[in-house]
Amino acid sequence: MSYHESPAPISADAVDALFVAIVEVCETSFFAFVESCEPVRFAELVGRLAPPMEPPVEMQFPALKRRDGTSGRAAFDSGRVDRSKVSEWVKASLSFTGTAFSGTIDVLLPMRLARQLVASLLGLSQEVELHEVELREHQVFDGIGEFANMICGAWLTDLSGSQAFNLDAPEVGRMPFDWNPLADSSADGEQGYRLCVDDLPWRIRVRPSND
Amino acid sequence: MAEETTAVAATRPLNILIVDDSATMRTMIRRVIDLTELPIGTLYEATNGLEALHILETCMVDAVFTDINMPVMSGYELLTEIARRESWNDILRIVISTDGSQLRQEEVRELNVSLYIRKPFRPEVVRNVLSRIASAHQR
Repeated sequence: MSYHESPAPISADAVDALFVAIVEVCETSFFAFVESCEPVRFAELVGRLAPPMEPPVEMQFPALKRRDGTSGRAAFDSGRVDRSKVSEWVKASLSFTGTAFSGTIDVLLPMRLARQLVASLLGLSQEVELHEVELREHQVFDGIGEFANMICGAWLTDLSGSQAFNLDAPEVGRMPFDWNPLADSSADGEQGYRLCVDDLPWRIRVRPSND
Repeated sequence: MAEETTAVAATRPLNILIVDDSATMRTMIRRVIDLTELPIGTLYEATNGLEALHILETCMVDAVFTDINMPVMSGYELLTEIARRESWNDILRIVISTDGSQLRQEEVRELNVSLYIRKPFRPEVVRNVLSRIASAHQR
């Protein structure tokens, strides 16, 4: 079921338990059908999102300025660049300590999917779709933090059995502008999985700590 | 369900306190409660145990739905404080937490928690709990 990006630093049982937790959370509280996603399809789904914009000029060539003296970042910040054309991804990150192992879990989603999931959790899918209700960014962030919290909690509950574990509060924010959702992060010691909900791609990464 | 609702309608409405640091979860629980046809009085909200204690000290609350992991004061500390005060003996305590470990459940069970709901949960779970609370409240 899974398409991981590197040899698993966590056991196969733990990986299976993670997928059980993901499915349970998506179906039970977010009313979403989740599928694992092979790399080719994942890339296709990422491509179907709003077309990615070129990263600001100074991110590619830090010393470079435009003829008018502005940098790409300035153009972006000033609103002259259409933000709606940027594929925006958010990340909910959560550290945990437990008897099985400790580490960090990251949930990475396009803002569109994040909004869809939070609207579903709140029973507002129709209202949001019809633009009768607008979810604000902080509401989406809070809801996605809870999404990550539930996945991690359900996973660790399964892994830890009778033992207690600790979850830190989730930290949620936008991914850096130049982050590539297709990038392989296995070199950083992360275990990543590609998934999709309603043909919208998302990723989950687990980084066990050495403690 | 209809009989239950009718029977409860004659009693004093339930005042409920929702304690969770996630505004989304508080909203979700509030929406589930709003959708029940049970006689609900005031719904109070707190973002941590300390805020919840202030509400309990000043308002009449029949049932508390609390998370465990929260900043400032955890749900465990809140439940310990509630258990310590005799005047709050009748308050029904329900935990809603992502931490479903047996150890955590046993810890709070010693603090007179009536029910431990593990996240994720279906909305019907909260609705059914409320029906039971309302029935007990009526007696």
